[in-house]
Amino acid sequence: MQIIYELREYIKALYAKLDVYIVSLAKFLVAYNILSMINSEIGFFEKINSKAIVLLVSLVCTLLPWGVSVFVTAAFVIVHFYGLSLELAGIAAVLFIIMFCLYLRFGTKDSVFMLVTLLLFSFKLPYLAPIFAGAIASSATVAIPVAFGTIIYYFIGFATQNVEMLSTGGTAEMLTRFKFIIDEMIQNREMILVMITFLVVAILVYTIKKLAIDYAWAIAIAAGAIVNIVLIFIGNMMLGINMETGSIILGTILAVIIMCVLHIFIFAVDYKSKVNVQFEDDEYVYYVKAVPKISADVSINGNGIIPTFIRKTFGIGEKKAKKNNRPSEEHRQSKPMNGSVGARNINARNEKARSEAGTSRAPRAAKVESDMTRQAVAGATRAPRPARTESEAVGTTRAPRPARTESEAVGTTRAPRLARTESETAGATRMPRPVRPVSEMTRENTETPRAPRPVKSDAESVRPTESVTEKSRTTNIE
Amino acid sequence: MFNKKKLMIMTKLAMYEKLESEHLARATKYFRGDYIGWNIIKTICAITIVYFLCAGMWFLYNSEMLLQNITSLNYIAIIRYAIILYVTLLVAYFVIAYMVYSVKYHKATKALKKYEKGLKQLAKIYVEEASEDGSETPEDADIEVED
Repeated sequence: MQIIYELREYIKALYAKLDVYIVSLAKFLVAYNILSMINSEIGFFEKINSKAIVLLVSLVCTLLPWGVSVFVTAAFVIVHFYGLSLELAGIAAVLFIIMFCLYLRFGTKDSVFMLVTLLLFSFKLPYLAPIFAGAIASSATVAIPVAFGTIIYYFIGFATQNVEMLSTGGTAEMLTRFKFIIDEMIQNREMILVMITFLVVAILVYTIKKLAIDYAWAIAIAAGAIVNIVLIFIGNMMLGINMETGSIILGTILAVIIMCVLHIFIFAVDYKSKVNVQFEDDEYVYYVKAVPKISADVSINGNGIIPTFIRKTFGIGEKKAKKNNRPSEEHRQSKPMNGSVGARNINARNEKARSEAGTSRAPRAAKVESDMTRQAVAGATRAPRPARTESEAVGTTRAPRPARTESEAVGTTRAPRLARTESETAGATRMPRPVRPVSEMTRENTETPRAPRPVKSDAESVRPTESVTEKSRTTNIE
Repeated sequence: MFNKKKLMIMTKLAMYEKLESEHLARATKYFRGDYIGWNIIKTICAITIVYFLCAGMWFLYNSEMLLQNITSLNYIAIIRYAIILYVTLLVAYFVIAYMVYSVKYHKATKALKKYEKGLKQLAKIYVEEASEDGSETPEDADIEVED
């Protein structure tokens, strides 16, 4: 799960950095694939049936809003139909005008789903279209462009199946061809069934997704898939259509799997792109770039495009850290501990275990991978530490401990101490110096190491008894 | 020297202006009645175009039957039927357009109120700056530019 989270954050960081290029690439790919599909299926008009023109038009669509791609697709379809039959082109034009006037009047935001539906039909994933549209769109009216996309797909399919009928005959047969086209489209029960199913599924998925319940996404996708299968099966039986059962079920299952993957990486993430703004006041003109915040662990600025979790998994760029993990010479030489031979043996045993285990252990302070930190955090053993002053050394039998690493030093000195409460000041929670009770010294040997303390005056240091919690509070100050 | 708070407000306002330009334009350029009315008129024109296109297609489809019964057709009934259908379609889309554009204008008004709130905060900072005597306060000394 951690890898999925990091990958998701990485994609989010990548989008925040390269959003313009990603959106442009998406526009280009959609336009190119759609126009190539139209040219390959109904390439009857030779002048626009070339890859160069498709490439050029796709590049133009890259620079313009999504609505332009819809217009360009409509234009390509009408022109190719004109190359086959004037009546076909006229009916296609009326169909597109009806769509633009009745639906796109109210906003072109979701019109791109007409292209997405066409694209998914061409990739043999038609059942993904309504679930995808319902999950992404901002309103339930997305069902309309999905339905239009279905109609246009079947219209294209009809044209490819009846090329001879539509291309032969003169002006006298225009009316016959016109009636034939209208009859075939109105009586195409499969098209009507699929269109109604997609309408219902898209609205259902959108409605459930918007509910404020747990797992709304999962319920929406599952409900959409089930309703899709059920409606098509019922329609098959009632209308006497022979749609393949296996392909319906497999297609729906594949759609659910793809939606789950998309949900994890796209829908569940709030993608934001950077914004460049410009404004001025009386004195200056400001050029500001607002960049969305991302997790520091998956930053891609300093390490190229390799995500952090891949670097850590394969140890890319961690050679320097590995060298530092071996115990340094000064720590190997443990100073003799007065009256605690057992502690020395534990020290040696732990050093051996450390060298064998290598760098795989992740102690509490995981970011700093030095051996000194591992020892300090583990707390079980002590390595030699800098000699204490006389007043500290007299009467103390504590085991030597290592100098603190930067992280620890920062951790202990970073936060300014909060003002003491009365109970704290009254208690004067300081370690007694130089003489301490034996019970305290024993307790200290088993505690986590503390930073060397400045020498205290006698008045401050004399204190008969103290609790462990007070002692730990004292150590946190330093 | 820059006022950090003022810069942040100005940046947020500029970003909001850029991302919500459509909403803000809607609310600032038109009154509610004008905006809804103008869009309803455009919708009526669109419906009329679509209606006459569909009517033309119907005539083409039934042209043989119409030509054969040209003398015996009840033209008054046909015209009455056509007008009722047209008026029904217009009323239905009038209601839909009214609801859609009312919601759009309401969202635009909300966006504008949010923008105006930011402008008021900015104006307040300008007033505070103007009323100072030039002495450095901690707020003003946040960022210093080295020449």
